[in-house]
Parts: sequence; C-alpha cells; structure tokens
Amino acid sequence: MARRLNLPWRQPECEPGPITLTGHRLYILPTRLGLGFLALLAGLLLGSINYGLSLGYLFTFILVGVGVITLFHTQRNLLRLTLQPRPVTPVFAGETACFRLAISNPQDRPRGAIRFALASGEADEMDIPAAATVELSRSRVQPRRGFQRPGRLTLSSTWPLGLFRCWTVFALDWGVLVYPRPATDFLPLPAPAGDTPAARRRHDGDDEFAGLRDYRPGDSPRRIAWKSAARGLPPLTKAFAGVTGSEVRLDWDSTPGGDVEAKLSRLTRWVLEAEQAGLLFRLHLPGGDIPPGCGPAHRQQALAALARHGAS
Amino acid sequence: MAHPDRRDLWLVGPIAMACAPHALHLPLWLSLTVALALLWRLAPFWRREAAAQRAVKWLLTVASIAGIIFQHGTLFGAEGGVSLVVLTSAMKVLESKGRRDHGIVVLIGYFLILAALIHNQGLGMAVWLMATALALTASQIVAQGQRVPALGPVLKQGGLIILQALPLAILLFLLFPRLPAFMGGLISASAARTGLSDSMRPGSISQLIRSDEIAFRVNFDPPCRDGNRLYWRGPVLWGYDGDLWQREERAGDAVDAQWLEPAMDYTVTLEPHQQHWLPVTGLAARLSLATAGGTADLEWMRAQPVRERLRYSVHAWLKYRLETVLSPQRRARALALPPGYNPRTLALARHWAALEPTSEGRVRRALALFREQSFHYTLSPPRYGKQAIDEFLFDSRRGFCEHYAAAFVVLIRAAGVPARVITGYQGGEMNPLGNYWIVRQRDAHAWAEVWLPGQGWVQVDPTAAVAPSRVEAGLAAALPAAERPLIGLDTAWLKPARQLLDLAGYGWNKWVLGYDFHSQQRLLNGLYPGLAGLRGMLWTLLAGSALLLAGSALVVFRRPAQPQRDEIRRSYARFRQRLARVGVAAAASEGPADFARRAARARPDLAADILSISDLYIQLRYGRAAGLDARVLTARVRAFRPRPR
Repeated sequence: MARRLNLPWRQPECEPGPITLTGHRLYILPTRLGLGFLALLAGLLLGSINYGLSLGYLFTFILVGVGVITLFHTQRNLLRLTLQPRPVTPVFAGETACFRLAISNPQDRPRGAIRFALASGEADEMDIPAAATVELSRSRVQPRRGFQRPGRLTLSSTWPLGLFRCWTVFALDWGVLVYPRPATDFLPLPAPAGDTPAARRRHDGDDEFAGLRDYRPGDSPRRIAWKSAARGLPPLTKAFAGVTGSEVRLDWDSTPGGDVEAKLSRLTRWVLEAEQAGLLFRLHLPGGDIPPGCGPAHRQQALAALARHGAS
Repeated sequence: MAHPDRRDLWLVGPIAMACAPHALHLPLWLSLTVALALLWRLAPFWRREAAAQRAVKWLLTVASIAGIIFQHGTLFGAEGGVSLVVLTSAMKVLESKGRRDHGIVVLIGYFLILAALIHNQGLGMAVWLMATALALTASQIVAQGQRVPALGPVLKQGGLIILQALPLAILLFLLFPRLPAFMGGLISASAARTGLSDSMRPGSISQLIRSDEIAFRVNFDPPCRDGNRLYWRGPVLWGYDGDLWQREERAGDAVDAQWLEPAMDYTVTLEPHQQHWLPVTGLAARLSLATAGGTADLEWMRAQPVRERLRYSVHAWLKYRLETVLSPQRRARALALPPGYNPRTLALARHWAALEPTSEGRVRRALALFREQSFHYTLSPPRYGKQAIDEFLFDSRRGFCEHYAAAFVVLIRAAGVPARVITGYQGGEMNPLGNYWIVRQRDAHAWAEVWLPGQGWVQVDPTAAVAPSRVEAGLAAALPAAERPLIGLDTAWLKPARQLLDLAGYGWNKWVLGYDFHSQQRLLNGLYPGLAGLRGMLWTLLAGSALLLAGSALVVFRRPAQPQRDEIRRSYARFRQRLARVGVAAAASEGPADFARRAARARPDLAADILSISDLYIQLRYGRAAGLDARVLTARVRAFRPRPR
C-alpha cells in the first residue's frame, strides 16, 4: 500500500482523534545543544588521541554511546502516547480560546517534559506520570468569527538530555466556535412582535414584576429602575416573570448596519440582551430560522448560527 | 530576588565533582575562586538577596583571567587552558539561567572530566570520574524535566542511559583505531615528575627516595623469587666536574658484549618519568619497543621522552662480559678527574696504587675502607662543600648511596682503574597476588662499575660494603630507625590491602590504559586473521556498531512484558493437567466453558471448584476483568487437588 509520506513540512491530514503516536509519525533531529555535544565529542576524541589517553578514549566513547542511546530514549518518550482533543469552550471574537489536549500515557514509565504547541507561539509543557493522563493547554486570541481550527499542532520533547528534539505534527478535527464580536454601541432591541399598545394590554397580566437585580450592560433602559438610580444607588434592573408573551423578532433584513459583519455584531448583541432580559426571541437569518425560545441552549444555538453565518 | 531552587544544587554539585580533581593542579587562588563562585550560587539557600551581582561576577571573571595569564603566561595549552575552562565552568554556573545554560554547564563538565585524565588515569580517578559523569548526566535530566524529581529516580535514569551506552563504548574502545599523537610536541602535559635524570649530584637520589611513587613494575616469566636483588640499570655517568656527575653521550660506540648464562624473560611496565632512558637489567639483545635503542654502556634509550606508561618485554642474560677491550679514548674518559678537587682522596689513592700492583687489589682496598672505617648510611648527610669527596671520606663519613658511589669512583679512578657511576634502581616489593615486582622511587640507587683487564666492566656496589642490608633487604632495613618514617613505608596491616589495590591498578594499566594499536591487532588476529589491519578493523567496527545499535534499539523499545497474561495461561494449563490426571481430559477443540460443563457432569463432587475456576479464567482471559488479579486464579488452581475416584 502506498502511504502518503508523512513529512514534517507538509500540512498534516485532519484526523478525528484520538491519535496514538507510532514510530512513523515521529521525527527526530539534534537540537543546538546536541550539535554542541557533537562538537564536544570531536574535541574529546582529539584530546584523547593527542595525549594518548586510553581512558580518555573510553570516556569519549561512553559519551558517544550516551548520545546514541539518548536518540532512542527521546523517541521512546513520545511513543505510544494517546492524544485526545477536549471540547473547546466557544468564545466571542477578540477573546482568547483555550485548546486543551488530553495526553494519556498507557505505560508504566513516566514521560518527561512533553511540550504541546499550536502552529505558532510558546509551548505548554508537563511531565506525565506512569499510566496517567494530563491536559496540556494552549490559548490563542481568536480575531475572527466562525469555526476556527487550531491548524497544525505540534507535540514535542527533548527529554531526557536535550540533545535531540523528537516531535510530531498533526491536525485534529478540532476547533473553537467563535461568536461574532457583540456590537459595542447601544441600540434598543426591536420592539417585540406584539409590542403595540393593544398587545401590551393583552399581555398585561403576564408581566408580573418579580424584583430588582443588578444592572448588566445591554439591559433595556425601559427596565432600569430609574427611581432608585435617581437616589444615587447603583443602577438596578427590574426583572419580570412570565414574559412569554413578548417575543422579539431579530430579523437580518431589518437589522441596521453597513456590512455583514456589522449586522452580525448587532444581532449578537441583541441576542445577548434578549437572553439577559429573559425575552423570548426568534432569529431570522438568510440561511435559516431559529424558532422562538429562550434559555442558555437557545442562546447558544442562536450565537452558533450567527458564528457560522456565511460558512457553507 | 533569587529563590532557592533545587535545580541549583544539581547545577553546582556535579560541576564541583568535575572541578575537584583539578584542584590538585590548579593554583590555590583559582581553586578558592571557583569554590567561592559555586558556593555563591547556592547562597539563596541560606540568605535571600544574596545572589551574586552582575558587576561583581564580571570583575571576578576578568581578574581571574588576568591571574591565569600571569600564572601560566598563556590561556592555551594543558595548564592555562584547563585553568580557563575550570574558571569558565564556575562562572557559567554563577550566571546560568534556564535549560540552555544548564546544558552548556554540563558539556563543560564533561570536558573537565577528560582534562582530569591528562594528570591521572588511575583506577581510583576513573571511578571518581565515572561518578561525576553520572552526576552530570542526571543533572542534565533534571534540567530537561518540568519539575525537579527525587534523587533516586534521576540517578537511576542517568545510570540506565550510561549502562546502555556501555556496549557501544566498549566496542569503539576495542576497535577504534588508536592513532599516534599528532601534536605531541606542541602541547605537553605537566612535566614535574620525579625520576632519575641524566645527571647526579649529592642529594639528588636521597630526595627521590622519599617518594612512594611507583617507578615501574616487572613481571618475570617464569616468576623470579629474588627480583629485589636485581640491579635495574639507568643512566651511566662518566663525566665529573667536582660536583655534578653527567651522562656523556657518544654516538658510534658499538656494544661489545658476550653473554654467559641462560637468559630470562621479563616485562617492564614503566610509569612516565619524562626522561629518555628505560630501566633494564642484564644484557638485553633487543627490546619489544621499536623506538628503543641500546648504547655501548648497556643503557636503553628512547628517542622521545617517556610521557605515557610504557610496556616492553626483554630477553636478557644476567651474566655477561662487557667491553673486554677498552679503547684508549674510552679509557681516558673513564679515568678523568677534574683538577684541583679532593687532594686528600687523590693522595690516598696514589698511595694504594703504589702498594697494589693489580686493579683488583686496589678495588679491594677501596671497599675495605668503606667496610672497616665507621661510615654511616643516612638519608640526611651534612652539606658538603667544594671538596665534597674529601669531606665525606675523611671528616663526616655520613652519606647515601650516591655519596658512596661517587667517592668510590673518584678513589678508584685516582688509583688508575677505569670506573664509572651507574644510576638505576635496586630492590622492590613482590606483589604475591599478581606475582609481579613493584619497584618504587624509593628503590632508586647508585653504584659503580670498574674496568678490569680480561674481565671488562665489573659491577661494584660500595653501598653494600657499608650497609649490606640495603642490597639484601631494602632501604628500610638499612636506614637508622629514626629515619625510616621519612620514606613513607607501609604499616604492616595495611600491606595486603595496598597489594590488592596495586594489583587492580596493574590490571587496569595493562588491560585498559596499555591498550593500543598492537593490542587491537592482536585481538582482531585472534578473532579472525583476515581482520587484522586497518581496513579489517574499520569493517569490524562498522558491522559491530550496526549490530549493537540494533540491539540497543530493541532493548530500549521493547514492549513491556505481560506477566499477567502468561500467568493466567499457565495457571489454566495446570488446572487442565490436574483434571486430566484424574481422567477428565479436555479435547483440543473444546472451549473452556464447554469443558467446564462436561467436567462438572463427570465429577459432580468437584463441580463447584471446576465451575468457579473456569469462570474466573474466562473472566480474566476474555472479560473486562477490571480489578481481578491473575494471582487469585493461581491461588485457586494451586489449592485445587482432585483425587481419582
């Protein structure tokens, strides 16, 4: 069978995971210290020859052996580890997503200093005890919305002596859902579908004042308890129970904003506000419709739809 | 603000171990500077805020480098260079931050180990340096790990790596071609070694005598019982200027000798003494060293000074007749005395010459003088002035072997008999464990040869006339009791231990340090004659390395054994065996469950055991028996002892 050669500079194929590291996935090359070690060996050999040090030869050759054996030990340090991606908590664009990779060591020998790195940037490093699983995590700022993959991932190690670096590159079917960045400026939510004087009258009985809670940005000014604010107290928001009747319709077509991203930002903010206000909302996007609902799951569904907007 | 870090201990400890052997050779101020720098690195352990300041570090470094240049005149070569590296290691430890620096410190440490071998390749040093190498390797593992592990596992890991490196190291050691030194003249190791030189002045040998160092070892074949009676010939001294006796090298004098007696064979292992001459006893035809050549005086010399330990075998005749015809030039040299020195001695000799017509008679007279007058054999004679021989012979009469040999030769030359001084060694100590003789610097000796008509050169030891026990029982017996501590003799109860140690050292020298190109050739020739030669050596080296690498890879990458699996299978096999013995044998095609049902029907009395053991086996072997242990099955099977019905 002709297997596509697995070369370190190629973009690795995307895999679902978990990945078990086998010999043909691992690359190994000397580090800078390893090259220094090589130069040292040459120096030691020359010294032994020049001074006729028989024991010097023996010592030099022991170090040669140490170098060679370290090559094996470094590779063995990564061999048969199992990598399992952990789900990544969605973030808003501009925030930092944390990619956590679970690494299991099935064998009864500890592994030293395993390093995990994203395509660019610093590595996270940890020793793995025998027959244990640890999580290595790398964070990265996500500037763009959508499903963002971490891309090329690297797992590497220079343990035990730092003379060689053994590494593997891989790509997992893994990523973070990045919601659009919420718009920063305030615009009132569109009026609820039934928010006409007539409708309000019809639903009056349902809107029961349930109490006051702390003000959160995005709360509708209509619900701010102005009386207490006027007394110089921290702003409070009136919370209502039984708002089922007031359904907010967030419609792509009637959303103000110049371009697609601005509209998405606006809608994202509105989704957050609506959810915070405890309103029922429905989201209407060109790609599809999110039926009315509320609660964290609904909010997440709506945000995901916004995040994926335009993606095939 | 520095925090105490256990990694710092790993940084300082191994480097201190690597620097320690150099402290013996470095100037004291440098050793102290290095120790200070290393301790300073650990300062945060007892005082916060005590970490070294940058400016101070630089100042210390620059001052020390200036000191080294001042001391050695250079930063290169064996002494200046090693001083610089030792200093660098300490300063690097002081400023080291993070993994990269730690790695560099470890590499410098490895280098220091090799540098220490230039001074001493002894067995004890080898053990110390191997421990240092292990510590450095472990230190590097600590540097690479994420957290600092406990001492035990790190040493184990480091030891494992070194142990696994050994097969390849030994193969390379055996087969890597030993090349001759290419810069021998450019860089020379420290030359301050004791040993007999090409000249002798009163006091030079008695200084040497205080040293316990080994001069050479001799292995006789067949073993020799009285090796301590032998005279090991070193430089032969002709020239005398009133104070200094000197070797006079004259090329072109051919050896003129006949051997008289059956020969003996022996092998000498000579410690480096930075001189050209090689100790030999008897009349040797040839030495097993290509570079050695004999002189007309039966000295053996090598073109280069002996800077490394040498082994050579000798086939020699102990009795011989040397130079029965003395040429007029050589006769004149053997009679020459500086004018204006020692008038009393010359007068006495002339008096003898008038009384005794024969050379033999004059020699007898001289020896009788030493024997009959009250001469003292002592390590600490008085300082003699310009007329040294006169003062010695007629006033103080206290002297060491060089005084007796010199006085005898002056006397006998003045009496008209050709004579010369021989320096060398006489005596030694048998190591019964290894069956060889150890000759130490304290066995250094000086004696004389006189030329007698018809007999040639005849050995005369004037010291034997004064202190016969010196020749028969060694120096310690001949010295006055008060002076014995001066020569550092063994305490009796320590002797066996010292002999054992020396035997180990002797084997070490012979098999490890003395291993050279010829030994390689012999080894390969023994394996297969076609392999001898450089090409065969390289091929064997390559093939052997490939095999060893493959073997090491197998060892390193072996899958962990599965003792559980095997144990389960073994126990179940035993269970079936026991049932078969009572007549219930399993068919080859029968699975464990079917067999259990059938066996239970056949032996209802055992049914409970049969079914539960089989169930346990199936659980262990095929089920996901988390928490179940194979040992439970083993115990159950062991207890299961069915009796035939």
